[in-house]
Amino acid sequence: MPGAGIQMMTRLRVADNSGARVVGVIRVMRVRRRTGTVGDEVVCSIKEADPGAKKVKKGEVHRAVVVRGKVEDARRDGSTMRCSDWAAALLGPNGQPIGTRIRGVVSSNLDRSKYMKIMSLCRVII
Amino acid sequence: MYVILNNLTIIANIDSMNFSTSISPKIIENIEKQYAKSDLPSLSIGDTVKVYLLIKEGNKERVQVNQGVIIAKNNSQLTSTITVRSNLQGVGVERVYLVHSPLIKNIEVLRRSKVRRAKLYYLRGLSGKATRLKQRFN
Repeated sequence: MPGAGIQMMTRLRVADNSGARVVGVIRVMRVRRRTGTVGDEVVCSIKEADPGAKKVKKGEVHRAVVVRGKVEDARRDGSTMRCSDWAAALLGPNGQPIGTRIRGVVSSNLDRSKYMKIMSLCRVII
Repeated sequence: MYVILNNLTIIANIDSMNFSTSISPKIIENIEKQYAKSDLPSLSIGDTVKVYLLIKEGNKERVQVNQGVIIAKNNSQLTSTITVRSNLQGVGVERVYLVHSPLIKNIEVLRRSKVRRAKLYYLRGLSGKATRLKQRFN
């Protein structure tokens, strides 16, 4: 169950309603790091999208933030969380989420100063 | 040299101890006893529990409740942990809690189950009705 994290070619489920379903990671935006974890921003391409989606199309390159993952996501009190899948929310060019709703659980370890909008859109923050 | 806790209690007089033998484990146990909770309910594998966690968001404090099934338990005195699995919004979420953490306000056992395993990792591959556990009444 514990894994190394996400890297290039990893498929992430899309947690928002932008129209995309699955994205493939191109690059984890961390300096000198090969694997990414929850809270990291990634550059990804859309591998699967809803046919009638207006905001995104298959093949487009977007940035996204990983909102939950299968690896242990540590909390400051020593507790950890892990989810059954890897999921990300797509971001627009200004860093704001493209979607208007977030599906599923979002980790509370996301940087609130950057991703306040995502935290406010989701229903369950663990 | 003395080992003192809270400036009040002298736990051990290190000068008088013979360090050629190993240090008594009682020293660590006595220190840990100050922080361990004495009012924890008995937690077993398969119990459905509600964990009341204190969350601090800036200045505000609130209590978040998490309900799930204990699928693993690790006994190690102060750092004992339980792994609680629940299904939230269609996502399987496992949280590992340190049961003696002061941020855990309460652990409430809702239901006990009859399980024949020490760890219920097989539940990760199941969903819905297949994850039901038989209730235990003792």
